[in-house]
Amino acid sequence: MSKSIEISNLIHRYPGTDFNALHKLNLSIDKGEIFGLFGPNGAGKTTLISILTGLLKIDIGTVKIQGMDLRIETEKIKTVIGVVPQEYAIYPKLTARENLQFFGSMYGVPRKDLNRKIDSGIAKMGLTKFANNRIETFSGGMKRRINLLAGILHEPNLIFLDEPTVGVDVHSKRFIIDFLKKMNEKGTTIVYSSHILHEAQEFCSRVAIIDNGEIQIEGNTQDVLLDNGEFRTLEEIFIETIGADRVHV
Amino acid sequence: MFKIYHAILKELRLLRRDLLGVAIIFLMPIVLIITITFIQDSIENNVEGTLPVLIANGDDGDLSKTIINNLKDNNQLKIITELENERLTQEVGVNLLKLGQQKILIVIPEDFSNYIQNKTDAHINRLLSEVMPDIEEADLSIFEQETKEVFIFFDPAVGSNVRNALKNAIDNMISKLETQAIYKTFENEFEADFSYITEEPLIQFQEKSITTNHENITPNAVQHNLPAWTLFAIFFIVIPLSINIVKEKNQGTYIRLKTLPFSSFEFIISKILVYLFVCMVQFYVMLLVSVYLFPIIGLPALEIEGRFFLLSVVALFSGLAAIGFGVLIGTISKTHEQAAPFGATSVVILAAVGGLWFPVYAMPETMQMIARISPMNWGLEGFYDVLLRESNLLQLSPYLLLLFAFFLLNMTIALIYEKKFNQI
Repeated sequence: MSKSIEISNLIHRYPGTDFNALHKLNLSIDKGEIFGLFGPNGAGKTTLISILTGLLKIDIGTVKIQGMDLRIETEKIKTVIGVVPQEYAIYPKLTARENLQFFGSMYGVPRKDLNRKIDSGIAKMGLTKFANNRIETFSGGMKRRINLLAGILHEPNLIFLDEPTVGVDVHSKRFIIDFLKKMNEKGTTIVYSSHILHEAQEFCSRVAIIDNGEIQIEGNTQDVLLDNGEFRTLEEIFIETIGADRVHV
Repeated sequence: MFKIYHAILKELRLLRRDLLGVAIIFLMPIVLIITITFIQDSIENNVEGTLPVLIANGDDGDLSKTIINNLKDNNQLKIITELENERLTQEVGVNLLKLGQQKILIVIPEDFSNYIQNKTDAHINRLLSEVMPDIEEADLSIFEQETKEVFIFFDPAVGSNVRNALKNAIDNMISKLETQAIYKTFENEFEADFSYITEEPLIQFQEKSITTNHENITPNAVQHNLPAWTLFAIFFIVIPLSINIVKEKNQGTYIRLKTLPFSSFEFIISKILVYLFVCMVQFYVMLLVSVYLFPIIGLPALEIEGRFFLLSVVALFSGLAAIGFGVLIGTISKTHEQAAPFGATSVVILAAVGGLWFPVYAMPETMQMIARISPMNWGLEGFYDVLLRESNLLQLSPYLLLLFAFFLLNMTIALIYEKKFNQI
């Protein structure tokens, strides 16, 4: 299977610190996977996602996304990835439609397709009657759904999701997970970071646990969960890997 | 272009949703220019009796009457010599000043007219007796008497400009009266009429304003105020712009914007274009008010015939300078609480240093040097060049280049800072 992301010997150190936030990290993610990245606070997952989305520069090592070198083709890579940050990365004073018009056009969605894609996306998220309402009037779950739409309107091949369902009601969570599964069925690769491990256990096809800037465990979800012939939960494995005294999920 | 169009649209929509902010941007300068022009125009056109002056006159002679009448001729002063039909005394006047109920008191001492005339006579007699031996020797006993002086008391709240203006006016009047008294004594001595000498001053002067086309245009309050307050308003764009940038930085949108295939250059260009548009609308609104509203409310209209294009050019470059400064403040500030007060205070300081409130030529030398490197001063001089000196584009170009250089400098520092310190 061809690779969506290939990371070799990636090292990153923040200025003013005496340790590597990422240390000789190697990882590859196949196209079409839903890849779950987990780790305690400060483990290095935000640093890794920040590098993969072009927010941070690579110090040492190589990263290839869709076969393109991230160091050289950063701007081109930005057109084929979608980023859904944990924060509401949308303008509260603008309506849902206005937000999507702005972010869609920034991602280069052609003028003729933009409104059609917005209408279709809003409908799939069950927000058609709120399309022209300002985001500041939305509930947390509605904001999450628009936050997700804003990052995928250009139909990227690869999506980075940071806690996409945190703080939302069951109804909104269902919309988001179903929507992402449908995208994945169409071939979109999803890199997903969350602290909701039971959700990740169902959703991800492959998982990795990162700590101290290094991958501690990596593999197919079912393989990771199967320990000596017995199935355990991802949460149990996470606690065992990181250490019960350090876990802050 | 499609991206920039949508980025501009986004900025305009965000501005439109902040109605209070927009109202402040447009209404504040209009209120300012109308208020200040009203006040300045009233002062320049001598609206009657604006400043009350108490006079405690202890003298019954002609000289004190002349002093009072001369002061009454000054329309800016309201002369009060009696209170409740009682002649005002020094004691009553001083008490009123102490209570803050009155601002200025002039005290003319008892028998002042006779004292001054006798002193003048004695001076002349001494002079004449020295050069003309047949004239009897002067009586110099007057010089041994206690000196009689006119006192001016000021409430401490009265500013130095008013104090100086009044003292100068009184000095001027006393010099005139002294001269008249001297000639009067000569007339008495020689039994001749020298009044023709004082009828017309020996030195005459006439006020003229120099412009490049040699026409004599006397600038009115509007021509002085419009450039200053327009610049002040244009530079106030620093506050909403810097807040806009800080807000964006502190929202999740900043992270998403950084991951977009949309360069920082395109991003900042869209902001510059929107805020420059706001600056220009602000400027044209102020022009409309000055040209069309002012005559309706009894103020002199602004004359912009043949100057519209050059005024717009100066406004455009001033707007760029202000936007550059706003982008820099927005980039460096971490929070809204840093950007807003710093933006407002720095604009006020730039205005003061730039000569918007107090003319640069009247400042101390060091401050004049500082003013010459102030962007608001370049803008102000640019506007004055167009409105008052009728300069052309070439003559304006030094100021325009300086304003543009200021814009570029701020943008460069902001860009470097953004790359170096504002990484995620």
